[in-house]
Amino acid sequence: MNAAIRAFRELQAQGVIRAFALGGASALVFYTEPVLTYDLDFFIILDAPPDTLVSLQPIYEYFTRQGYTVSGEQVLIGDAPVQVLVAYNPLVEEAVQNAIELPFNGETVPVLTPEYLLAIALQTNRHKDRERVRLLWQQATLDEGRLVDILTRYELIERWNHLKSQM
Amino acid sequence: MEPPEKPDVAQLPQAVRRVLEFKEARRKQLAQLPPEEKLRIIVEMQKWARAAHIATGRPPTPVWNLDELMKRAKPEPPSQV
Repeated sequence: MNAAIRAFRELQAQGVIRAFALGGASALVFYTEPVLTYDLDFFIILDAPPDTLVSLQPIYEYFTRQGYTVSGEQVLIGDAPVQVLVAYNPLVEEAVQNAIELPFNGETVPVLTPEYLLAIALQTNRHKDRERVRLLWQQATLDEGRLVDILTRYELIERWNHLKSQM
Repeated sequence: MEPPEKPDVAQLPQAVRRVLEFKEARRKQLAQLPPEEKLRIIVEMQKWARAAHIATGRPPTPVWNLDELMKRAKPEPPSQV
């Protein structure tokens, strides 16, 4: 993971990406009990003007030069598939922009905050996402004011209230 | 699909309720562990999942190489022009 973090920082320094942050189930290790996962999900914001075709090729080429195996849309680091996901909607983009640096294995890594992780999981709303919402609600230290603000702005508050009533 | 209704824990025998309470407390303890330790636990879970898949004739699932994953990256040498 440290290798991936360093690689993303290099790509940021080179201006290939504007920002990056760890998200998905792998980010839960910073806030909740560990949950079984097979991917390390890194969300990125590319440094490209809007309405241009985005290509992740420079990112994959960078990892290949570093000696990592690129398979499809994944980079294998220590047998862990690192998934590079371009921030795909305004909520995810805002989440990456507001990621916080947390200590990990002697370095720091930008990680989505628990409020944004919960909001994204609520927006995605698959069964496993609802399970993540429940975990974050029960175990993470959440800033409820910030959470309600995010959920209100992204029209998720009704879904949240419904789910919360069942927890 | 809607999540299932909340089970009525109060209806369960006391012995079962005690186990559930213990499990809940254990999960809260796990949540307090450092992320590096949680990553190690995830790898252990991956090993169990892989063994279960193999035992039931399903394709084996991946297991992360923790040593490689936790390896601190060395700075790149300055690029030569």
